[in-house]
Amino acid sequence: MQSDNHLIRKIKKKQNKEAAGLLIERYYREIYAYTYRQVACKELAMDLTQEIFILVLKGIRAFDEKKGSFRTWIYRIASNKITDYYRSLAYRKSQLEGPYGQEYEHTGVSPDISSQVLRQETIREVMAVIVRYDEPWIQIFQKHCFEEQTFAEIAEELKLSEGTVKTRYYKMLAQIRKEVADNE
Amino acid sequence: MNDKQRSQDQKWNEWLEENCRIQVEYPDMAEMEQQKNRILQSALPEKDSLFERLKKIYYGPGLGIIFYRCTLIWVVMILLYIGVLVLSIGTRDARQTQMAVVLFAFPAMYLGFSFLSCWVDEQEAVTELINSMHYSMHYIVGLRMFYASLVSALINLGTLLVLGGQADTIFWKLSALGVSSMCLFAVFALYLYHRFSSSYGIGVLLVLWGILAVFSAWSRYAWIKILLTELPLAIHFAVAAGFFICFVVLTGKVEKENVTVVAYQ
Repeated sequence: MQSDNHLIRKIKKKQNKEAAGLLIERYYREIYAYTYRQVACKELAMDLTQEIFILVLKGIRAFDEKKGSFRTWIYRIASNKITDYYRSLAYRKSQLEGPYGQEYEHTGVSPDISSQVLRQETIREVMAVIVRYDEPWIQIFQKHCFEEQTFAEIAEELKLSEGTVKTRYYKMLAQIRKEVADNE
Repeated sequence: MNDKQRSQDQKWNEWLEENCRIQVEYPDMAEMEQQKNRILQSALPEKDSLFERLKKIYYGPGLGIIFYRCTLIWVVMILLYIGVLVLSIGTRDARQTQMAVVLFAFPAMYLGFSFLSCWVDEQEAVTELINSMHYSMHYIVGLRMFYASLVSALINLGTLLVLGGQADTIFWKLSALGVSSMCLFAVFALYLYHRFSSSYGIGVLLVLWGILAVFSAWSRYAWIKILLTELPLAIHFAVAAGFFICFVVLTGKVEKENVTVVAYQ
């Protein structure tokens, strides 16, 4: 199996579609799941995932394999894209129109649709709180909750002490509790 | 942090993890494949071949649109050209007639055509029609001037050949001089149109050219004679080619901006 960096070099050199296709196949489910968990809507997650991969491929020349892994890079782009979505006008508009917005209706057939709806609302409320923080704080939250990384792993990746990571995380948690969870 | 607070944090952490780690509803394989193709198409579009790219730039929407409602203007300009030609013949020697053609008839036809076609567009609101077809007016005017310059150059070459009777060095020098001056004015005309979105810039150029031509005729074509006798043919050709390339590049540049204009429409 060809490594990520090998595929990336092919894309950089010759705009190789086959290599780009392989790279998409390799990360699609992972990035989709990461996005889905933060937006809880299939159509929206698909749209955002598509935009994330377009950004990744268009900006692939900016990726430097010496600075970090492709996985870290793609997750950072995904994180920024999702944050942008929650900060965007589109999101605020969807909030005014209803819990799903008219653009992205939940179309999946779930055995427990009311629980799904409740979770969707909760996740969106949580994310609306989180995106008010600075980038490094958002990353801590996303890595812990959606990438399921431990505090030690996050600390190592973000080059922070584990104590700082924990303090920031629990501060955000307290804010969520204040604004979201206590309303339930 | 005391034990009570720690246990509360833990409780809320579990609540959050439970809410965040929801079961993912994945798209099916066909949807994933479709999306992959859309991503590839959007991020890595097929590159056009050089021929296709040139065709896209220099043929654009096609001659029908480029010369939309221009037939009458062509007829008027060719009649004007013939008129100037007839007036020039017999008044001076053959060489001076050729010079008069290069100085008066050629630019009068070319700049006159450019000015009138732009002016008619403005009067008949063709601008809106062209814009609705996702081409900027600047681009269409650039293409129109490009093709008009080719047609004018061919007509002028033929006329010079007929008047001179032979394709000698002076004939080629005069032809090159005609093409140089036409391309130089075309660059200015296109730039002015692009900058001010009005045909009046071309009108001003036409007047300037008229003044220059009258002054030249009054001085018995002294400066043209110097250019014809002092400068070698190669320089004439190089200058003509240089101005022509400048004009072609400017037309291409206007096309690039057209893409941006259309993208934001």
